[in-house]
Amino acid sequence: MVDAEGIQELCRFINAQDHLANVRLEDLEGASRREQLGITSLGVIMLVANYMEAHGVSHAGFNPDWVNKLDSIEGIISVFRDIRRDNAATP
Amino acid sequence: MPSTTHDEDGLTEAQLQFFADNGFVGPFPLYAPEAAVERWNRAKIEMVLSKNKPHHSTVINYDRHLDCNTLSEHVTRREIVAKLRALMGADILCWKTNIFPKYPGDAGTGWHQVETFAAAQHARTPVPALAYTEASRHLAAELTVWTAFTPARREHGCLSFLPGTHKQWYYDESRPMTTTVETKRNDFFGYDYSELKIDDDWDPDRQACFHMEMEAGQFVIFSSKCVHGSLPNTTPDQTRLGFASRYVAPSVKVYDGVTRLSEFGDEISLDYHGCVLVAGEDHYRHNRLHQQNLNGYPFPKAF
Repeated sequence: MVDAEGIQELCRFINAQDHLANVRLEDLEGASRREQLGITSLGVIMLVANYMEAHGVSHAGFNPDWVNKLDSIEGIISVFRDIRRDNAATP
Repeated sequence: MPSTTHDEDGLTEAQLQFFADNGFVGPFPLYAPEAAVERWNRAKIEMVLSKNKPHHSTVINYDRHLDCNTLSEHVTRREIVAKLRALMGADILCWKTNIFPKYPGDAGTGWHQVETFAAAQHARTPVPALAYTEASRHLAAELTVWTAFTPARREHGCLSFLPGTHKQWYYDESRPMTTTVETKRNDFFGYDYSELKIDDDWDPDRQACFHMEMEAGQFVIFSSKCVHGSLPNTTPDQTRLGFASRYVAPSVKVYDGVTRLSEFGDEISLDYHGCVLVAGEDHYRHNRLHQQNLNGYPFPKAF
């Protein structure tokens, strides 16, 4: 099932990054893997780290299990969801 | 020679003989497959977020054991160092590490053979990274440990060796490489290593070959003088990840008089460089040593 809200959030956040080229929402919607958007394996880790920072989650909470999910767009969106949940759970 | 040993007791007589005959030995278990993947994921996170990178090249991926605690711990693992001691004696320095990803569709790495790790600078006389100051009393004065952090079977582009070739020079690493690679079969990071062949009639592809298939978490030890290469990654979606940690005896001078490295179209200063004493003592004091990594993490000494 397509998480339209998650895709929009990812698009907005990618386009706010200095280390990544801008993407169009329609390109993101048509992509299944990050390579299709020119995002490297290291670039996506930086993206997630920056998302954690933006949501007040310490980098120490970067879960190594997330890395396996970061090849797919769906996986990145699910990791972003986890981060927002972690942030919401922080008192 | 596969091993089923899980101990920290070095190598058996048969394994020592196998290395003496062939120039490599392994694979040996180090991490469970899932733990290996988890460990590499952790290392990647540390490398990306590092505030103490040894250099800022994204092309030259050397020496991240100096700013990545997970890799700092890895290069000093007792299971590894115990086996190195059996081959190169009680005193051991880790002088370099490299990351070797092979992405789906990547070509194999052509056959090559080195001893001084002369830097591959286009059309220029290579500068040796290692200077051997005395003959070793042991089976080796230089060894590479190649750890698979993902499966490294034939289809992923496993390492391959020509057994016994460490006893003779087939390539002259002191000569400059001038031509970019024409056939993927000879591809050595963009150069044609076959250009360095000493005997044009010698065909490595007609020699007996050993494909070192490994599971994630296993490691193999080899002399870099043993002719080696790797197969192409023919999988559609599985990256092979190898991590090479390189060791020498303290009698070897590392980067003696070399202050910068120029490779793969990029250049880095070696101001950060130092060796790590992973076992024994350094009575020679040829080389700068790091007692701790660039984060302040103290390197454990295995023995």
